[in-house]
Amino acid sequence: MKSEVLSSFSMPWLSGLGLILFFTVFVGAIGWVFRRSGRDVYASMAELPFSDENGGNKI
Amino acid sequence: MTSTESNKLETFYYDDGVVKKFLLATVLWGVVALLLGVVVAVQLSDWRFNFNTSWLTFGRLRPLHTNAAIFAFAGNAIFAGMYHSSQRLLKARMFSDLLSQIHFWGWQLIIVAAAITLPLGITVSKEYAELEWPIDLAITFVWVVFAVNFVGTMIKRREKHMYVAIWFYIATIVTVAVLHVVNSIALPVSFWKSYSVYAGVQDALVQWWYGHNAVAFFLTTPFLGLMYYYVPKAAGQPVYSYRLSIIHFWSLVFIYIWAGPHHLLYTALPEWAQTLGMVFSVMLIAPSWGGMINGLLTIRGVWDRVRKDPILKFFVAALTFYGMATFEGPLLSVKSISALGHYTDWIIGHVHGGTLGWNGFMIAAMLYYVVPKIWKTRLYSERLANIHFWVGFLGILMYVVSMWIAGITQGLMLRSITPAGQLAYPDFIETVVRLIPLYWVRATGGTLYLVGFLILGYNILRTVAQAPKSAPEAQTAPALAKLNPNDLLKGRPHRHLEAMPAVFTVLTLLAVLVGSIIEIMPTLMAHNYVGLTQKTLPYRPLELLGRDIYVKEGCYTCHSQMVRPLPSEVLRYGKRTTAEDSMYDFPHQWGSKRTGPDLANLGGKFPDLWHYRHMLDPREMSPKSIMPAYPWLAIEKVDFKGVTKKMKVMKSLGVPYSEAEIQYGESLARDHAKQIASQLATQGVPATVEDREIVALIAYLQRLGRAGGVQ
Ligand code: HEC
Repeated sequence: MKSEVLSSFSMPWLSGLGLILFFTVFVGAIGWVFRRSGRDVYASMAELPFSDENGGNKI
Repeated sequence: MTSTESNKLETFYYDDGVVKKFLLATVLWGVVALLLGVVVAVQLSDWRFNFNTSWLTFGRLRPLHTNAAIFAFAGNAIFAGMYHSSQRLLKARMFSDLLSQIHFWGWQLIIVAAAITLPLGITVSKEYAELEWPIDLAITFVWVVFAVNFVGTMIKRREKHMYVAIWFYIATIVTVAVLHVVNSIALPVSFWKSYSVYAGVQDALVQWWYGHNAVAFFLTTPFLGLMYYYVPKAAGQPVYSYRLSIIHFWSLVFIYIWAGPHHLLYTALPEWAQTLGMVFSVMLIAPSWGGMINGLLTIRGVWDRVRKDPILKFFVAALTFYGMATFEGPLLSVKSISALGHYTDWIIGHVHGGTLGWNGFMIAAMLYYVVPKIWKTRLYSERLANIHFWVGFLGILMYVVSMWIAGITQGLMLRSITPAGQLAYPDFIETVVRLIPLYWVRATGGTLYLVGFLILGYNILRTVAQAPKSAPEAQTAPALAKLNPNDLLKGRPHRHLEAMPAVFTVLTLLAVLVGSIIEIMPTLMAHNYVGLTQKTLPYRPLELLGRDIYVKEGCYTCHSQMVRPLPSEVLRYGKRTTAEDSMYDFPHQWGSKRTGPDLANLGGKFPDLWHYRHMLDPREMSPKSIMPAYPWLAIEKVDFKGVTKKMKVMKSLGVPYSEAEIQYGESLARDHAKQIASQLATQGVPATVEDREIVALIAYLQRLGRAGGVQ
């Protein structure tokens, strides 16, 4: 199948680029989201939908 | 909040008027879209419900049904939810009341235009993007108005942080704009007729990149935004994991955009693009299920309320259907399963699990939650809402299960080959007849769902009627402190990322564009049709006119023109279709559903007379056929004069017509028509047909599969 793929695909570097880009962004995003200092930030962010209730601004 | 200096309290009012309008429009268009669905379902169960009337036939109403469901019903619903939740999340009135009103009325006008043009056969035949170019321009205009209004609101917001729901909204606005513009590019022939600038395999790829991502960014991301806002509200506690919601967002945006080619497995699309689409589609299950689990776990600890509370009930069911559809989708994207399921009712079942179950129930939950809130009253009847739930739920089950059985049954019948190497069911209609009882089950399920929704409509109207007259409530919130650029350089940049809509929007756009370009560009640039094996001639003038009739009647809603390289398929339909076959098809007519047989190699299979009689009354040639009759084709006249302009436009799109051909296009078409008509006349057909649409259509049908021209 690989040869078929290559025969009709004129820009193989493009998918390589896509893969690297994709992978870096994905791993980066996970690392960033699970950073330790994020805990409190996210806890307060999760409360945002309720900030219009009780007239209060919880954060 | 830490900022101190500018904590001056400001007073403001939400614009709930526009939210109310969108909410009521949702109910109205919901009824229309579902009713149309029931009509087309009944038409497939019994052809007589086509009423032998052009503007009521399946081919013209089916696009109206899909457009109404997606853009009118779901469209108004997401606008209602976005305007309602964004103002509250951003603590600001919408940027401009005028823009909100233009958005609302503009969108309703577009819907009305669609409801008039589609039954008249004014269509470009690209699925879920059938509307002709003037309406496409109007959509673009209204969408830009919406975007400006939304961005304006973000700029004047009083809440520094952007809740994850807002991210999903931004992704929706940005991506739908890109999808719509790229897919709709066309050259006009006249005010109500245009040709897509893409042809054949390229058009198919662009079309399903659009089609798949319309599902992703019109029916998924905005609804996920709504989920992340309304499910916590209804459950009374924050989302289970905010971290998961961020990963959910980015992986969805990154992966979805690649998955379009799963609609084109085993077609003439280059193999690598198919593989790419398959891999990314299978990957999609991860973020989708992550999101579903996040939504369901938000209801943790309050499960006892689900039994009584119709809102939570609808949310739980909607999320479960989302999980089901996003499991089934990757499954159907596996090539070997696609080989069985594609073109059958299995796909229809899959789609409706998503739309009726996920979108429809999300909308119901949102309506039951927001309407009492915003009209400052209670829901008229919880009992009716619970009845709606069970009636609708039963409707979905009947719909989905009957379509699963129908799809798999027909798929297996069509592919079964006897030990002698022959098709077990050589006559296509044999496999259709088996499905008719299931089509009735489907129609019943759809009717139940409609009844449930009518109960909702009644409940909502009574709720609105009982609402007290109330003045808008003043809100107060501190003004947003100006961002200090120095913070950005020194401080913790990630905290600001969430606070910077512009950067965020650009990132989302990049994610979408990178995927799109890598997926689409190589195919778009493959002008040379690798390994051209056959000579392909442009359509002769009359064939071109006939093709426009094929488009106008929506034959593609029941017929494919794409023979896949599978043994049973080649046995049944003849040689596999290659890219050259449709290289002058602006746009392609590959189709996505075979309610009737594939037509790719139809040319020469039957004599002209067969087609003449079959089109006027399919039952005459195939007694059990469920195809609509097209008697008006023998009455309406061909637009011979228009062919010159059409050929000119085709030429500018790259079709190699010579100047002489274009100059004599009209008389060439007339001669060709006379030739067919005089042949038919010897067999008893009235000679008057020589200027009727039927002759042009026959010319086109006889050309199919003969890319080298008809001898
Ligand atoms: C509601 C679905 C439906 C629509 C819409 C529809 N067809 Fe059909 N068509 C069928 C079915 C089912 C058959 C098989 C039974 C028969 O031959 O009538 C069929 C058969 C055919 C055949 C015979 C193919 C063969 O190889 O035996 C032709 C040709 C055809 N249709 C042309 C058209 C054209 C042209 C249009 C649009 C004007 C159209 N159909 C619209 C359902 C449909």
